[in-house]
Amino acid sequence: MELLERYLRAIGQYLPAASRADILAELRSELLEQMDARAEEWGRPLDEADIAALLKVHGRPEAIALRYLPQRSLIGPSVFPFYILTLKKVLPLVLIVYLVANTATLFFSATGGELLGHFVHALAGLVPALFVCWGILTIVFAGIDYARSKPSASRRMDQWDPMKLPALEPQQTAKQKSLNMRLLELAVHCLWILYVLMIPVHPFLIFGPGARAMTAAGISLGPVFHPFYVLLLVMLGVQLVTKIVGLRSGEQRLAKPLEFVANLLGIWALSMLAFARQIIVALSGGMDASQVTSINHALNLAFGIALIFAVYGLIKELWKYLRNRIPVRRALAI
Amino acid sequence: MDTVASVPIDTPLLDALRLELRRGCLVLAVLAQLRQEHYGYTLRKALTDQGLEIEESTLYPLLRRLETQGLLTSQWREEDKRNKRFYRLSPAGEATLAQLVVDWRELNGSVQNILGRTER
Repeated sequence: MELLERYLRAIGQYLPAASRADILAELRSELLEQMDARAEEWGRPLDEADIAALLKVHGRPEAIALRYLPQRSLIGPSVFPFYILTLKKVLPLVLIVYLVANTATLFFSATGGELLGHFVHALAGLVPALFVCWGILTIVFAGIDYARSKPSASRRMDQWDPMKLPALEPQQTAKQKSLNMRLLELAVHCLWILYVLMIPVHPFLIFGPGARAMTAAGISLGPVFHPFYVLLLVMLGVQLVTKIVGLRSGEQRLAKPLEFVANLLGIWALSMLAFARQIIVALSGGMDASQVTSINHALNLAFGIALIFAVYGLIKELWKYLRNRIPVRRALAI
Repeated sequence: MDTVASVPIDTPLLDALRLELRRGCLVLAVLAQLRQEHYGYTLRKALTDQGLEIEESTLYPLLRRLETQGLLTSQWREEDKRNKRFYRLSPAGEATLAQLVVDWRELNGSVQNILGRTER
């Protein structure tokens, strides 16, 4: 019987003090009845191993105690969908504001060499920032859920007018482009590649009269533009493949992954410029070094902001693409 | 029917649906059984004898909840030299049970009709 008392004491640890004695007395009574019935059935008194087996079947003390406790949730099922919706809307905004604010601070305060270290540091601070935002939203919604649980609030929730529901927007369906349009896009893309290929031989194609102005000012493009140019050509090549694949009617399976590859290459190219120490360099006897550094910082900032938007756009598109492909097992609320 | 039988059943989902299906029925059965006074052990035995098995860990918290809701009354009494808690339906419980039985019969009839129609 000592084992039974130990079992009951273990259950009692998790029970509220007000009802503990009552619940344990009833459980003791039930378990003793079971033991008596078992002893009568077997024609002998139960030993400790028999009692242990019976208690094991009865259940873990924590699990038994939990059944007596009221079900609690921080945010109930009626508010939870709004909570998730708000998180989906707000967290990306926080992400953008944080990244833009930190990037701007970085580019204006850090010198070229420290740039990468500061960027990593700022990125590490992103997680706590998102957690704080998540925490605040959770507290707000827990408060809303608590307020809603009041009877007056649930009465207010019943007062709504279906006539005030927003009007339907015209349905957006993914329309397949016509073959002519796809051919035209392919032709334009080929011309675009030709144009890019001609730039090294004819710099005026990209800068126009600005090419002469740069030389006159004593500056030229930095070495970073060599790998940038190669990467740009690879990206254009991937886009070309995408457009050729897309010529086959209904062949959309490969188009999107190829588009992601092209976007990734674009992000890589942008990051080269965002983190390059010398986007432009001074020619011998040309512009003052401090002026060149300032211009490089400004260009880093501009490419950095473009990089943030490109990364955000890619994450958003990837999420849209993947969320329809990941199988979701709906959990039943029991 | 062969096609239906060959489709694999998602066992955890089936268990969850069964649990959901049983939950309301258990309350009705317990209330109905407690038109006569019982203590936990005999109540569980009576339900089991009539084909409705229920675990102790489900029954006792349910009894406590129904008592808090005013549908049951309980009393500690000594029987066979042992203290036992006896439960029975309260007047509010009797009225609620009467209404629930009407609802149950209506619901059961509707479901039977639907099942009969779909099985034809």
